Amino acid sequence: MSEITEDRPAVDEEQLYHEAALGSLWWGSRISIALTITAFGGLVFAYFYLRSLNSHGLWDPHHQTASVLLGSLILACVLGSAIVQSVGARRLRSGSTIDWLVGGFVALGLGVLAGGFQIWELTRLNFFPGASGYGGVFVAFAPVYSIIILLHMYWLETLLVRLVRNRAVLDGDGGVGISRQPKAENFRANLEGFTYAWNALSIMSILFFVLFYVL
Amino acid sequence: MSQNALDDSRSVEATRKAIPKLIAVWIVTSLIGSLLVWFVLGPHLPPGTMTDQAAGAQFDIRFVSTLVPPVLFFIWIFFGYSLVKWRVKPGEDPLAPAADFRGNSKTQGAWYIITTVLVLFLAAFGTYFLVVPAGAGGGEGPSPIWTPKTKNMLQVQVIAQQWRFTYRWPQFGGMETTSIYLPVNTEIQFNVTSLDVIHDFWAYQLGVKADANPDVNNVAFTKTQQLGRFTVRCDELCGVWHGAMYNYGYVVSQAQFQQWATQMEAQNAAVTKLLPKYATTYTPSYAGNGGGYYPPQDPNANL
Amino acid sequence: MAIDYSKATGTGSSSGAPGGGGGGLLRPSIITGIIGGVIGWLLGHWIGNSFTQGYQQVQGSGSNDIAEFMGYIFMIIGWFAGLGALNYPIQKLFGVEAEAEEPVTEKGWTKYFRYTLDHKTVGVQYLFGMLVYFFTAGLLALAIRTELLSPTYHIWSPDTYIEIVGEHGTMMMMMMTSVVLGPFGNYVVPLMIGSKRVAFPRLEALSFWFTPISYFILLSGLWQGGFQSGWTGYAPLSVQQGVGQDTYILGFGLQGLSMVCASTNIVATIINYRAPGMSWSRLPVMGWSMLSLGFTMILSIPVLIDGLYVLALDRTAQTSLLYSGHGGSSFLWENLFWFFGHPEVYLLAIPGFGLVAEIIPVFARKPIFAYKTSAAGFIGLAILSFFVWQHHLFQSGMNPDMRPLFMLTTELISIPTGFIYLVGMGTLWRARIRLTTPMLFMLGVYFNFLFGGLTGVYVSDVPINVTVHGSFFVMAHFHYTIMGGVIFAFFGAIYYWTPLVTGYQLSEKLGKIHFWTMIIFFNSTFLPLFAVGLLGMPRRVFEYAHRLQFLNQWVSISAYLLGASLLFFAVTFVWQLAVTRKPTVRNPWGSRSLEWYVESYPPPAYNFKRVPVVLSWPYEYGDPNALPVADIVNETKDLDPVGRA
Repeated sequence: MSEITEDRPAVDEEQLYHEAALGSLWWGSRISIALTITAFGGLVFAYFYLRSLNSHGLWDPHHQTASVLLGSLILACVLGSAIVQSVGARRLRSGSTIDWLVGGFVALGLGVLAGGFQIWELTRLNFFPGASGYGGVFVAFAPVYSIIILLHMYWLETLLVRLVRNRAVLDGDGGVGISRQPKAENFRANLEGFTYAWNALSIMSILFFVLFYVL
Repeated sequence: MSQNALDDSRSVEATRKAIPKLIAVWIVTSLIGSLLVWFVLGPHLPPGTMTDQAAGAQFDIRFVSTLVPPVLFFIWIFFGYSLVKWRVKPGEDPLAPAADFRGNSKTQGAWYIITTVLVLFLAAFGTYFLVVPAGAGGGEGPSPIWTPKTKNMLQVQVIAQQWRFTYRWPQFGGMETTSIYLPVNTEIQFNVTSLDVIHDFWAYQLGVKADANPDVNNVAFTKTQQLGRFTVRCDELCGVWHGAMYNYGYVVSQAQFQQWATQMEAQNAAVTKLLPKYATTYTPSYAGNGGGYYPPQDPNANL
Repeated sequence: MAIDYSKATGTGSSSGAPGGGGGGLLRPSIITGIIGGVIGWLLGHWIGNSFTQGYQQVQGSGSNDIAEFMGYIFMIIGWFAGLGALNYPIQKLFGVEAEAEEPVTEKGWTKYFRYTLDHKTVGVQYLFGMLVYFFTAGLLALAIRTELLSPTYHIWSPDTYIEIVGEHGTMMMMMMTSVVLGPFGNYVVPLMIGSKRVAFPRLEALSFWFTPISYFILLSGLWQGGFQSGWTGYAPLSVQQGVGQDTYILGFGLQGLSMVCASTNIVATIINYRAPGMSWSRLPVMGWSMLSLGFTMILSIPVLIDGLYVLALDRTAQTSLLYSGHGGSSFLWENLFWFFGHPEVYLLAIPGFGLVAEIIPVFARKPIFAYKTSAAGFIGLAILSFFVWQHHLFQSGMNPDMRPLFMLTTELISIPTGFIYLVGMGTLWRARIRLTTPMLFMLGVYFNFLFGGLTGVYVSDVPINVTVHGSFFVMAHFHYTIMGGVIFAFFGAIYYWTPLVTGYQLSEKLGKIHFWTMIIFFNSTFLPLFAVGLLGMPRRVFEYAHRLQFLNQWVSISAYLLGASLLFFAVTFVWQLAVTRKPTVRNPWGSRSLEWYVESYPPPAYNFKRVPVVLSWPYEYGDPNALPVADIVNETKDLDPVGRA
């Protein structure tokens, strides 16, 4: 059996686990998207189920809708945040770290604002939670939405602050968006995962806006 | 190559010889088993034959039970044979390799085909005996899609609440009774609903089971064909006294039923006037008006 | 070159990071966790009561759901803060990255009471945690059977009885989802795929530390009036209940979060951390089962959490999503719950089958039969399980037109389930079978699951379902599949892997006594219940027909004996680990699977000195000329490829 060992291909463990970590970031972020979709999926199911059942005509008898102004602001903030962040991330890839830092902090501000607006909206509803099926689903949806937005903002904040504090390490070798250093690659994988997750949520937000404010 | 190391009992030839014998044993045992199930156990299987739906359910259970021995014996015989025949004997090296094969396309193919055919057959069987006997006694919701042909069915509304059943009879002035009598040889439509939480109306000997949901009318059909007593039990957990939520009903002759019903109608006339109008569902009134039940209303109607 | 982990150990600079920090009682551990939990509960309960000042009838009355929820939520936060689990996320917020690699070299028994990042420690924590869960819920089952000794004479009051039923069911269902993934998925699978670590050790540790607190919260329901809605928690009954129902919501919800964390970790680990050469076609079937399990959990559990959340809102925020009188529907709960609830029961079956298919070839000295079929079976189960949930609602009155479809999908799922029998029968054919304790348990799974599977056909057939729905027949059916399937596999796996995990050998003689008593009394307990159900006894009742008394007494006495058999296991297991301590030989079962080729039992920190290169399929038991499973084999000199000690 010894000949097998001698033929052993050289395994670069550091490289192996570095790539495994990149793959885990890919899968972790995709799983987080799946979890977000299924978590909202249950509530969207509740929306359509109760809407189509319309028990005793009480789905939305008085067409009471949560503040459309705030709803539009939330959507605008989320979309704006996603777009600014995506553009920033693209600029990062072409080497301008500072663009993403600026874009990322703007996106962070907009996202936190969106989460805050959502909580604020919940405190000033023009209907009681039990007033209608719509009211119930909205009251169920809003906290989940704001929490998930803020969790994504936590993710973005950790990325931003990680880059700010480790700029010297990460930004060598032509910038964090280009560098072949493992730490920079790991950072990019993380950022890419976040971008996907946040963009996915922003696309879902359009659906939520239509469901809760337009229909 | 590894076959060389195998002793006789694990060779292909030895096992090839054994297979027909195993199949013969299987056929004989499953035949005996199935015949016993069909003829000896079959007539005694629940839920009896008090109604057409009960008899149908009995037939279904009997039929599926007859299919059980072949499957059971197939698995047992092949497992049993393997365990007896190929168990490590004293003195053998327990870690020596056994036969080296990773699959067998014929066996696998046959297995896929047979299980698929069996499963599709069972699904078709179930669908047929669900659709043809008008929903097989199960609750079909407010607008049943499989209904009996009879036009004039006896309407019995089952109202469940924590923790008892009452019955309303729209064809007898909308009276409400705490007992249930049914005429024999009659097609019956049960309209099951609840006033509070989810219950389940399970008339065991009638072969009827339907969840009693608040604000939902759940319809089930059956046709009585034998006299006797039946048990009604709640079959969805409904709180503390769920276990005590049962009563008995009787299938009686049509004349006796008429007599009972007219007598009850007269006896209950004063109470019937106070009851809310007969409806498929009722919602408790939080206005508290006499504790009655009223059609649901919009809590914000005044907004 | 190997990764140099030395930097990460013992620097202590990452103050408060798991494994770092100072010593003594204040070092994060279960003790500080409990202290944090108590402080959190007091604070949250006070906040909850001050929220509700306007509501005289509930405030400070012990029936204030908002105070109950706030108390528990703050307790959970305090618990995790005390455990030190929040240090890392908070450090991240300030960009203070913890050490690049997690220190997993902690020594001594105290590590089992800490938030640690070693997947092996987490696996052991899970094993004992799940056994505590199982024995607690088992005692509750005996309490149920005691009540059912007589149809009329009552041991418990009706509400105590129904609370016990609910606690038993919920606790068992919560625990069963983690019973294989937790101990064996976390411990063995990384070793099996030749990895030094898991993908997300913090998520993995978090997933374990959810379970003690969810256990405590759920059990605390018993002294707060319990919940009468059973593990299915049907609304509006569950909306109507007292504060005990909140413990159901939070306990179950936390367990859901735990499962999400655990499955995210195991999926990412299996996909990314396989050693070189461990291609998909060489992945042990246990890996395939864990992968299917992980994906199923990820896609179904958020819906359960949604359902519980909606129920919580109806109970606290005065929404009416589950009450049709105000525009909701009680069917909404049934749909949300069973959309999770049916994948759930396959979440229990899949890992059990994975263990069976993994362990049988070792004792048959043959390659696993139809390897690809078994993997396809797991994936098929995982996919189909999402399309069958309405079969719990055949009599509910919703959508009768969908019944034939759901009957079809439910019947179809028996095809992938049948694959596992094909695999077992094919593997035993012309094998060299050793009837060791683990093997007996695996064969026990086949014996029991056959009854569970065949009665599944009755339950899925809508016309028969009219008779058996909600009766003891259904109850016996799922005890056969869950206890007869996954719990037997779980105990078999304990006997199989204890030498690896502890370094001690378990007595075959005692193990066989446990097996034979367990399988006899298990069948003696649950087989008569099919008859009891067919004869008309509904589930969860405390009064039943006199004519069923003999059968019920038979079942209750068998249940006590089954309990005695499990107690026998508990005593002998602890005795052998704590007192007898007979060292095991290396690779006692002669397995070719990678986990047995570690340097020592229990495996050292970071599992392998260097990452192994996988050279062949792990199931080449039939070919004496097969390559060794990995290039690690001749470094562990006392083992040869087929594992003769």
